[in-house]
Amino acid sequence: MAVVCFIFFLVFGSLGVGYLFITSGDLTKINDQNNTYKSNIKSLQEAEQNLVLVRDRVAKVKTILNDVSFEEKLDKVQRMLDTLPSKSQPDALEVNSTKSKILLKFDSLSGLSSFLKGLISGDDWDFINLDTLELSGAGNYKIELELV
Amino acid sequence: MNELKIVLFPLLTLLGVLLFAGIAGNTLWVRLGEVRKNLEAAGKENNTLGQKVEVLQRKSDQDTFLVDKKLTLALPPRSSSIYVVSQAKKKAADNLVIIQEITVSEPKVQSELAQSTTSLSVEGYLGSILNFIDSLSNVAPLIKTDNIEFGGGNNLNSKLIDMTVNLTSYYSPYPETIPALNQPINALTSSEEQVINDVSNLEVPGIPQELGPQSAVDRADPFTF
Repeated sequence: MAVVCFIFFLVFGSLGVGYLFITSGDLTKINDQNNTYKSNIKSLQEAEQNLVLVRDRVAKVKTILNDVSFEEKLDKVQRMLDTLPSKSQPDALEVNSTKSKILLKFDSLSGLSSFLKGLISGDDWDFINLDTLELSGAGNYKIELELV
Repeated sequence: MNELKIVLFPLLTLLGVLLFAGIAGNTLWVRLGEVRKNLEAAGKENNTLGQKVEVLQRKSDQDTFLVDKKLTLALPPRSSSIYVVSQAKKKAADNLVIIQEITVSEPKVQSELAQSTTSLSVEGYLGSILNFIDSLSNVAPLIKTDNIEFGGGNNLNSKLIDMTVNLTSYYSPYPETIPALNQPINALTSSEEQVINDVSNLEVPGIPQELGPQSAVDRADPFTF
Protein backbone atom coordinates (compact mmCIF):
# COMPACT_ATOMS: atom_id res chain seq x y z
CA MET A 1 0.00 0.00 0.00
CA ALA A 2 2.76 2.40 1.00
CA VAL A 3 4.71 1.51 -2.13
CA VAL A 4 1.65 2.18 -4.32
CA CYS A 5 1.15 5.53 -2.62
CA PHE A 6 4.79 6.41 -3.07
CA ILE A 7 4.72 5.48 -6.78
CA PHE A 8 1.52 7.50 -7.15
CA PHE A 9 3.23 10.46 -5.50
CA LEU A 10 6.31 10.12 -7.66
CA VAL A 11 4.31 9.90 -10.91
CA PHE A 12 2.03 12.85 -10.18
CA GLY A 13 4.87 14.82 -8.61
CA SER A 14 6.99 14.37 -11.74
CA LEU A 15 4.06 15.33 -13.98
CA GLY A 16 3.43 18.45 -11.86
CA VAL A 17 7.08 19.47 -11.93
CA GLY A 18 7.21 18.89 -15.71
CA TYR A 19 4.07 20.99 -16.23
CA LEU A 20 5.51 23.70 -13.98
CA PHE A 21 8.73 23.69 -15.98
CA ILE A 22 6.93 23.99 -19.35
CA THR A 23 4.53 26.68 -18.08
CA SER A 24 7.40 28.71 -16.60
CA GLY A 25 9.15 28.54 -19.97
CA ASP A 26 6.01 29.81 -21.71
CA LEU A 27 5.70 32.60 -19.17
CA THR A 28 9.29 33.68 -19.76
CA LYS A 29 8.72 33.70 -23.53
CA ILE A 30 5.54 35.79 -23.22
CA ASN A 31 7.23 38.19 -20.80
CA ASP A 32 10.13 38.60 -23.23
CA GLN A 33 7.69 39.31 -26.07
CA ASN A 34 5.84 41.81 -23.86
CA ASN A 35 9.11 43.60 -23.12
CA THR A 36 9.80 43.79 -26.87
CA TYR A 37 6.30 45.20 -27.44
CA LYS A 38 6.85 47.76 -24.68
CA SER A 39 10.09 48.98 -26.21
CA ASN A 40 8.31 49.17 -29.61
CA ILE A 41 5.52 51.21 -28.07
CA LYS A 42 8.08 53.56 -26.53
CA SER A 43 9.67 54.05 -29.94
CA LEU A 44 6.19 54.74 -31.41
CA GLN A 45 5.39 57.31 -28.75
CA GLU A 46 5.05 60.10 -31.31
CA ALA A 47 2.36 58.14 -33.15
CA GLU A 48 0.63 57.47 -29.84
CA GLN A 49 0.65 61.16 -28.90
CA ASN A 50 -0.68 61.93 -32.35
CA LEU A 51 -3.48 59.38 -32.02
CA VAL A 52 -4.42 60.68 -28.58
CA LEU A 53 -4.50 64.23 -29.92
CA VAL A 54 -6.58 63.24 -32.95
CA ARG A 55 -9.03 61.28 -30.81
CA ASP A 56 -9.35 64.19 -28.37
CA ARG A 57 -9.98 66.70 -31.19
CA VAL A 58 -12.40 64.36 -32.98
CA ALA A 59 -14.48 63.80 -29.82
CA LYS A 60 -14.77 67.52 -29.20
CA VAL A 61 -15.39 68.39 -32.86
CA LYS A 62 -18.12 65.75 -32.88
CA THR A 63 -19.80 67.47 -29.92
CA ILE A 64 -19.75 70.78 -31.76
CA LEU A 65 -20.90 69.35 -35.10
CA ASN A 66 -23.77 67.42 -33.50
CA ASP A 67 -25.36 70.67 -32.39
CA VAL A 68 -27.06 71.65 -35.63
CA SER A 69 -30.12 73.35 -34.16
CA PHE A 70 -29.37 76.79 -35.62
CA GLU A 71 -28.45 75.54 -39.09
CA GLU A 72 -31.72 73.61 -39.27
CA LYS A 73 -33.66 76.72 -38.19
CA LEU A 74 -31.88 78.87 -40.75
CA ASP A 75 -32.62 76.36 -43.53
CA LYS A 76 -36.30 76.42 -42.59
CA VAL A 77 -36.33 80.23 -42.55
CA GLN A 78 -34.64 80.32 -45.96
CA ARG A 79 -37.20 77.85 -47.36
CA MET A 80 -39.99 79.98 -45.95
CA LEU A 81 -38.53 83.19 -47.43
CA ASP A 82 -38.36 81.49 -50.83
CA THR A 83 -42.15 81.11 -50.77
CA LEU A 84 -42.74 84.84 -50.26
CA PRO A 85 -44.32 86.80 -53.11
CA SER A 86 -41.67 88.61 -55.18
CA LYS A 87 -42.37 92.08 -53.74
CA SER A 88 -42.43 90.94 -50.15
CA GLN A 89 -39.47 91.02 -47.85
CA PRO A 90 -39.23 90.65 -44.10
CA ASP A 91 -39.22 93.93 -42.21
CA ALA A 92 -37.68 92.23 -39.17
CA LEU A 93 -36.21 88.83 -38.51
CA GLU A 94 -34.83 87.15 -35.45
CA VAL A 95 -33.55 83.57 -35.53
CA ASN A 96 -32.01 81.66 -32.67
CA SER A 97 -31.77 77.99 -31.83
CA THR A 98 -35.08 77.91 -29.97
CA LYS A 99 -37.43 80.09 -32.01
CA SER A 100 -37.71 82.43 -34.97
CA LYS A 101 -39.63 85.68 -35.18
CA ILE A 102 -40.42 87.36 -38.46
CA LEU A 103 -42.28 90.50 -39.44
CA LEU A 104 -43.61 90.41 -42.98
CA LYS A 105 -45.41 92.93 -45.16
CA PHE A 106 -47.73 91.99 -48.05
CA ASP A 107 -49.29 94.32 -50.55
CA SER A 108 -52.22 92.04 -51.29
CA LEU A 109 -54.51 89.83 -49.30
CA SER A 110 -54.16 87.01 -51.83
CA GLY A 111 -50.37 87.03 -51.42
CA LEU A 112 -50.73 86.91 -47.65
CA SER A 113 -53.33 84.16 -47.87
CA SER A 114 -51.31 81.90 -50.19
CA PHE A 115 -48.17 82.40 -48.07
CA LEU A 116 -49.98 81.44 -44.86
CA LYS A 117 -51.62 78.44 -46.53
CA GLY A 118 -48.24 77.19 -47.72
CA LEU A 119 -46.69 77.79 -44.31
CA ILE A 120 -49.41 75.89 -42.45
CA SER A 121 -49.53 72.97 -44.89
CA GLY A 122 -45.72 72.51 -44.69
CA ASP A 123 -44.23 70.40 -41.91
CA ASP A 124 -41.15 72.54 -41.18
CA TRP A 125 -42.53 74.14 -38.04
CA ASP A 126 -43.99 72.49 -34.95
CA PHE A 127 -45.62 75.64 -33.74
CA ILE A 128 -46.72 78.74 -35.69
CA ASN A 129 -48.05 81.66 -33.74
CA LEU A 130 -49.53 84.69 -35.45
CA ASP A 131 -48.55 87.46 -33.02
CA THR A 132 -50.00 90.41 -34.90
CA LEU A 133 -51.97 91.08 -38.06
CA GLU A 134 -52.20 94.71 -39.09
CA LEU A 135 -53.83 96.42 -42.02
CA SER A 136 -52.27 99.79 -42.78
CA GLY A 137 -54.02 102.57 -44.67
CA ALA A 138 -52.06 102.03 -47.89
CA GLY A 139 -53.50 98.53 -48.38
CA ASN A 140 -50.53 96.80 -46.85
CA TYR A 141 -50.87 93.83 -44.55
CA LYS A 142 -48.30 93.33 -41.82
CA ILE A 143 -48.00 90.09 -39.91
CA GLU A 144 -45.67 89.03 -37.15
CA LEU A 145 -45.08 85.32 -36.77
CA GLU A 146 -43.39 83.30 -34.07
CA LEU A 147 -42.14 79.97 -35.37
CA VAL A 148 -40.82 77.07 -33.31
CA MET B 1 9.09 -2.22 24.51
CA ASN B 2 10.96 -3.73 21.58
CA GLU B 3 7.67 -4.66 19.94
CA LEU B 4 6.45 -1.08 20.30
CA LYS B 5 9.68 0.14 18.69
CA ILE B 6 9.19 -2.26 15.81
CA VAL B 7 5.67 -0.91 15.20
CA LEU B 8 6.51 2.78 15.83
CA PHE B 9 9.51 3.04 13.48
CA PRO B 10 7.68 2.23 10.20
CA LEU B 11 4.65 4.13 11.40
CA LEU B 12 6.69 7.28 12.05
CA THR B 13 8.56 6.79 8.78
CA LEU B 14 5.27 6.49 6.90
CA LEU B 15 3.93 9.58 8.67
CA GLY B 16 7.11 11.48 7.80
CA VAL B 17 6.87 10.44 4.16
CA LEU B 18 3.18 11.39 4.06
CA LEU B 19 3.96 14.77 5.67
CA PHE B 20 6.75 15.41 3.18
CA ALA B 21 4.51 14.36 0.30
CA GLY B 22 1.74 16.64 1.56
CA ILE B 23 4.00 19.68 1.93
CA ALA B 24 5.70 19.04 -1.42
CA GLY B 25 2.35 18.49 -3.15
CA ASN B 26 0.88 21.65 -1.63
CA THR B 27 3.93 23.74 -2.59
CA LEU B 28 3.78 22.38 -6.13
CA TRP B 29 0.05 23.10 -6.33
CA VAL B 30 0.47 26.70 -5.06
CA ARG B 31 3.40 27.32 -7.43
CA LEU B 32 1.43 25.90 -10.36
CA GLY B 33 -1.49 28.19 -9.48
CA GLU B 34 0.80 31.23 -9.38
CA VAL B 35 2.44 30.40 -12.69
CA ARG B 36 -0.92 29.79 -14.37
CA LYS B 37 -2.23 33.11 -13.01
CA ASN B 38 0.88 34.96 -14.19
CA LEU B 39 0.65 33.23 -17.55
CA GLU B 40 -2.96 34.30 -17.96
CA ALA B 41 -2.14 37.92 -17.02
CA ALA B 42 0.91 37.96 -19.30
CA GLY B 43 -1.20 36.51 -22.14
CA LYS B 44 -3.80 39.27 -21.74
CA GLU B 45 -1.08 41.92 -21.62
CA ASN B 46 0.52 40.33 -24.67
CA ASN B 47 -2.73 40.67 -26.63
CA THR B 48 -3.18 44.28 -25.54
CA LEU B 49 0.41 45.26 -26.32
CA GLY B 50 0.39 43.41 -29.65
CA GLN B 51 -2.79 45.18 -30.73
CA LYS B 52 -1.41 48.51 -29.50
CA VAL B 53 1.82 48.10 -31.47
CA GLU B 54 -0.20 47.19 -34.58
CA VAL B 55 -2.45 50.28 -34.22
CA LEU B 56 0.48 52.60 -33.57
CA GLN B 57 2.53 51.12 -36.39
CA ARG B 58 -0.38 51.72 -38.80
CA LYS B 59 -0.79 55.27 -37.49
CA SER B 60 2.95 55.87 -37.81
CA ASP B 61 2.94 54.64 -41.42
CA GLN B 62 0.10 56.98 -42.43
CA ASP B 63 0.96 60.47 -43.56
CA THR B 64 -1.74 62.34 -41.67
CA PHE B 65 0.08 65.60 -41.15
CA LEU B 66 -2.36 67.70 -43.21
CA VAL B 67 -5.45 66.10 -41.68
CA ASP B 68 -4.08 66.52 -38.17
CA LYS B 69 -3.28 70.15 -38.96
CA LYS B 70 -6.84 70.72 -40.20
CA LEU B 71 -8.22 69.10 -37.04
CA THR B 72 -6.09 71.46 -34.97
CA LEU B 73 -7.27 74.40 -37.04
CA ALA B 74 -10.89 73.31 -36.68
CA LEU B 75 -10.49 73.25 -32.92
CA PRO B 76 -7.38 75.21 -31.93
CA PRO B 77 -5.71 74.92 -28.53
CA ARG B 78 -6.00 78.66 -27.89
CA SER B 79 -8.61 81.32 -28.59
CA SER B 80 -9.67 81.15 -32.22
CA SER B 81 -11.22 84.63 -32.46
CA ILE B 82 -8.54 85.95 -34.82
CA TYR B 83 -9.21 83.09 -37.25
CA VAL B 84 -12.96 83.65 -36.92
CA VAL B 85 -12.60 87.33 -37.82
CA SER B 86 -10.36 86.40 -40.75
CA GLN B 87 -12.83 83.83 -42.08
CA ALA B 88 -15.83 86.11 -41.51
CA LYS B 89 -14.15 88.92 -43.48
CA LYS B 90 -13.26 86.56 -46.31
CA LYS B 91 -16.73 85.04 -46.51
CA ALA B 92 -18.38 88.46 -46.26
CA ALA B 93 -16.34 89.65 -49.23
CA ASP B 94 -17.22 86.48 -51.18
CA ASN B 95 -20.95 87.06 -50.59
CA LEU B 96 -20.94 90.86 -51.11
CA VAL B 97 -21.71 91.60 -47.50
CA ILE B 98 -20.16 94.54 -45.68
CA ILE B 99 -19.00 94.05 -42.11
CA GLN B 100 -19.53 97.31 -40.27
CA GLU B 101 -18.55 96.31 -36.78
CA ILE B 102 -16.87 93.38 -35.08
CA THR B 103 -16.96 92.76 -31.34
CA VAL B 104 -15.08 89.87 -29.79
CA SER B 105 -16.04 89.00 -26.23
CA GLU B 106 -13.89 87.39 -23.55
CA PRO B 107 -13.79 83.59 -23.87
CA LYS B 108 -15.98 81.51 -21.57
CA VAL B 109 -14.41 78.31 -20.34
CA GLN B 110 -17.04 75.59 -20.04
CA SER B 111 -15.69 72.16 -19.11
CA GLU B 112 -13.14 71.13 -21.74
CA LEU B 113 -14.48 73.37 -24.51
CA ALA B 114 -13.91 77.09 -24.21
CA GLN B 115 -16.15 79.41 -26.23
CA SER B 116 -15.63 82.85 -27.70
CA THR B 117 -18.47 84.99 -28.98
CA THR B 118 -17.94 87.23 -31.96
CA SER B 119 -20.64 89.72 -32.77
CA LEU B 120 -20.84 91.08 -36.29
CA SER B 121 -22.86 93.98 -37.57
CA VAL B 122 -23.29 93.41 -41.30
CA GLU B 123 -24.95 95.18 -44.18
CA GLY B 124 -26.17 93.64 -47.41
CA TYR B 125 -29.11 92.03 -49.16
CA LEU B 126 -30.99 89.51 -47.05
CA GLY B 127 -30.22 86.62 -49.41
CA SER B 128 -26.51 87.51 -49.45
CA ILE B 129 -26.37 87.73 -45.67
CA LEU B 130 -28.10 84.39 -45.27
CA ASN B 131 -25.66 82.84 -47.76
CA PHE B 132 -22.81 84.42 -45.82
CA ILE B 133 -24.07 82.87 -42.57
CA ASP B 134 -24.52 79.53 -44.29
CA SER B 135 -20.97 79.64 -45.70
CA LEU B 136 -19.53 80.05 -42.20
CA SER B 137 -20.50 76.47 -41.41
CA ASN B 138 -17.88 75.23 -43.91
CA VAL B 139 -14.82 76.93 -42.48
CA ALA B 140 -12.16 76.14 -39.92
CA PRO B 141 -12.15 76.98 -37.04
CA LEU B 142 -15.62 75.64 -36.38
CA ILE B 143 -18.10 78.49 -36.09
CA LYS B 144 -21.66 78.19 -34.87
CA THR B 145 -24.20 80.92 -35.41
CA ASP B 146 -26.05 81.64 -32.17
CA ASN B 147 -28.61 84.07 -33.45
CA ILE B 148 -29.28 86.65 -36.12
CA GLU B 149 -31.42 89.70 -35.82
CA PHE B 150 -32.49 92.62 -37.91
CA GLY B 151 -35.38 94.98 -37.88
CA GLY B 152 -36.30 98.59 -37.35
CA GLY B 153 -34.24 101.39 -38.76
CA ASN B 154 -33.56 99.55 -42.01
CA ASN B 155 -33.93 101.40 -45.25
CA LEU B 156 -36.72 99.31 -46.76
CA ASN B 157 -36.66 101.07 -50.12
CA SER B 158 -33.07 100.05 -50.88
CA LYS B 159 -33.64 96.44 -49.74
CA LEU B 160 -30.27 96.61 -47.99
CA ILE B 161 -30.49 95.54 -44.41
CA ASP B 162 -28.33 95.83 -41.30
CA MET B 163 -28.16 92.59 -39.40
CA THR B 164 -26.52 91.55 -36.15
CA VAL B 165 -24.97 88.10 -36.28
CA ASN B 166 -23.65 86.44 -33.14
CA LEU B 167 -21.12 83.68 -33.71
CA THR B 168 -19.60 81.21 -31.30
CA SER B 169 -16.18 79.72 -31.89
CA TYR B 170 -14.45 77.11 -29.79
CA TYR B 171 -11.02 76.17 -28.56
CA SER B 172 -9.66 73.51 -26.30
CA PRO B 173 -6.17 72.87 -24.87
CA TYR B 174 -4.35 69.76 -26.02
CA PRO B 175 -4.54 66.64 -23.83
CA GLU B 176 -1.59 66.48 -21.45
CA THR B 177 -1.40 62.78 -20.70
CA ILE B 178 -1.10 59.67 -22.82
CA PRO B 179 -2.47 56.27 -21.71
CA ALA B 180 -0.29 53.96 -19.61
CA LEU B 181 2.02 51.65 -21.53
CA ASN B 182 -0.14 48.55 -21.01
CA GLN B 183 -3.45 50.33 -21.49
CA PRO B 184 -5.22 49.33 -24.71
CA ILE B 185 -5.57 51.81 -27.55
CA ASN B 186 -7.99 51.33 -30.40
CA ALA B 187 -7.80 52.45 -33.98
CA LEU B 188 -10.18 55.22 -35.02
CA THR B 189 -13.77 54.09 -35.48
CA SER B 190 -15.70 54.70 -38.69
CA SER B 191 -17.67 57.54 -37.07
CA GLU B 192 -14.40 59.17 -35.99
CA GLU B 193 -13.04 58.74 -39.52
CA GLN B 194 -16.22 60.39 -40.79
CA VAL B 195 -15.61 63.40 -38.54
CA ILE B 196 -12.04 63.62 -39.86
CA ASN B 197 -13.38 63.53 -43.43
CA ASP B 198 -15.86 66.29 -42.61
CA VAL B 199 -13.14 68.40 -41.05
CA SER B 200 -10.71 67.85 -43.91
CA ASN B 201 -13.27 69.46 -46.25
CA LEU B 202 -13.37 72.66 -44.21
CA GLU B 203 -11.81 75.78 -45.63
CA VAL B 204 -8.76 76.74 -43.58
CA PRO B 205 -7.98 80.35 -42.70
CA GLY B 206 -5.32 82.26 -44.63
CA ILE B 207 -3.60 83.33 -41.45
CA PRO B 208 -1.27 83.02 -39.71
CA GLN B 209 1.32 83.19 -42.41
CA GLU B 210 4.38 81.04 -41.97
CA LEU B 211 7.04 83.22 -40.40
CA GLY B 212 10.16 81.18 -40.86
CA PRO B 213 13.57 82.59 -39.96
CA GLN B 214 15.32 84.66 -42.58
CA SER B 215 18.04 82.73 -44.36
CA ALA B 216 21.60 83.65 -43.42
CA VAL B 217 23.41 86.11 -45.66
CA ASP B 218 27.15 85.80 -45.99
CA ARG B 219 28.94 89.05 -45.31
CA ALA B 220 32.62 89.60 -45.91
CA ASP B 221 32.92 91.70 -42.77
CA PRO B 222 30.38 90.59 -40.13
CA PHE B 223 30.72 93.96 -38.33
CA THR B 224 29.67 96.00 -41.34
CA PHE B 225 26.13 95.92 -42.76
